Parts: sequence; structure tokens; C-alpha cells
Amino acid sequence: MQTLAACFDALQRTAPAEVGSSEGRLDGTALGTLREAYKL
Amino acid sequence: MYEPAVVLCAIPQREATPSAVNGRARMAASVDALQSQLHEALNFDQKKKQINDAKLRAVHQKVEYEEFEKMVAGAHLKPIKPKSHESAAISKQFAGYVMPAYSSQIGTPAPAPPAAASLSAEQQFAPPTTSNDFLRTWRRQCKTPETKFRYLHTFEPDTLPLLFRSEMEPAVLDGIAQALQACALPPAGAAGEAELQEALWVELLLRYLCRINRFALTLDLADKGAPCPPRRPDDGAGVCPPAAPHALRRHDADAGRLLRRLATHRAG
Repeated sequence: MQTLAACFDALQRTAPAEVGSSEGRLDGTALGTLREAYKL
Repeated sequence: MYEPAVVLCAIPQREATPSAVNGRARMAASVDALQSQLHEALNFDQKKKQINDAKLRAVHQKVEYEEFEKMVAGAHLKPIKPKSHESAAISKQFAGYVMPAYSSQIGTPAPAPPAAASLSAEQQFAPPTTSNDFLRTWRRQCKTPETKFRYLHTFEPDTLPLLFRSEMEPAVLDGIAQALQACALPPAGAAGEAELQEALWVELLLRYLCRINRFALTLDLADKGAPCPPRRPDDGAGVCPPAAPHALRRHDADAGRLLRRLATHRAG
């Protein structure tokens, strides 16, 4: 679980706030929802 | 074997008179007759010798009369060869476990093997078609996070729910998490375009992972231990240390707690 949490941390670092999700980029909000699905 | 000798005679060309033509025809007929008689005599001698050899062979082997009779009756038969001369050259039996040398390369320096050939056989993965296929390769060939990460790249992430139709083992989820953290995700402050593409793939993989059936149970039974040390920018890839004993004990305690909760749920 902590490994997964570290993965999500690294993903959120990779997804800068100014990058939008419509162009296929990482979306911070969607990442947060996905993180909740993993109970993290 | 007796082979009849063929003698070619050069007959001088002269003017042919009727008596000469008749005489020549008679002589040709007599030559043909002589030739056929010679063939018969040779065949007779050959068969007589074959029968005599068969008799001597049968006496030497001390066989019964029925067997003796069969050997004499089949004295003129030749044994069937197992394979022809051409097939003997082609289907030459492989001797030992050493690969035969490639003859055209003899005398010339061997070229350097390509980079792909230097990889070991376990690094050449085929995309899995079933969960058993995935688990077999995962357990036998994917011993390190690097190989696990390479194997995860052999198929599309959206096939994960189809591969694991019933459920995914918690150990597989742990291995995937370790592989992603060690190989896919960049360390802090080193996010380039390639890393971003890799992060997109990781995000897609995580999205489809949680769509697998009974994922909540898999997640509950997954390892709660400490994460792997993050990858440094200067090293090639992180290597996860083995799980500590206290982490294993905690994992067992979690599993026991979940089993008790399942039993209570079923009883209710």
C-alpha cells in the first residue's frame, strides 16, 4: 500500500497543475479520484 | 553382381546386296539370342550363389527348417535401406548437445552479436492471453522489478480486467507496484517528456487495475509494508529490498482480520 502511495505521489509530481487533462495529459483531479479508489 | 559387357563394333559401310542384308539380319538375331542366353546364364549363376549363401547363413544361424526354407526362398531379395543417400545427407542425426558449426563462417572473423541477442531468453516476453499465462511468466521469469516492468509493457493496460476475470492475487499487485515505483516513475524533479509519457501509461495501468473483479479484497490483502527506496537520477533502476519480517507478520495479521470479517459476513 505504501508502495502504491509512493507511486501516486510520483504521479502527482509528474502531473503539474498547469497541464490540462483534455490533451491526454495527467489530470490532478482524476488522479485524486483514482487515489481514492485505491483507498490511499 | 554380374554386369554384361557391351562391345561396340564399327562395321565398315559397303554396298548392301540382298544376300548380305539377309546374312546381317541373321547375325543380329543370333547376337540377340546369344545376349539373352548370356543374361539367363548370369542370372542363374547369381541366383545359385545367392541361394547357396542363404543356405550357408541358415546353417550358421542353426535355424529350424521353416526358417531355413524362408531364407532360401527369399535369398534373391535385397534388404530395404532405411533411407536414401540424399536423405541420409540431409537428415543427419544431431550428435550431442553442441550446435554444429556453420561452415561458411570458418576462416572469417565472427561478427559481433547484436544488442538484442545479448539479452537473455527470459527477457523476451510474449503478451499473455490468460491469467494463468500471466502468472506463469510472472512467477518464473519476472524475478526483478525491471523484468516485471518489461513484462507489463508487453500488453495493453486495458486488457488487465479481461486477463484477470475473477480476481488478482495480492502478491501480483505488490509486484506491479514495486515495478512501477522502481522503473516507471521518475524521481523528484526529473520529469521530462519521456517520463510524462511513462506516467500516463502508469496512470492508465492503475486505472484498469482497479477495474479487476474483487479488487477491494486484493487491495485489503496487499502488502502494507514500507515502500521501496525511490530511484535516484544517477542509477539505472531501483532494486527493492526483501520484505522485513515485521512487515510479513503485519500482513498475516491483516489477512487473519479479513478472514474473520469474511466469516462474520457469511454467518450474518
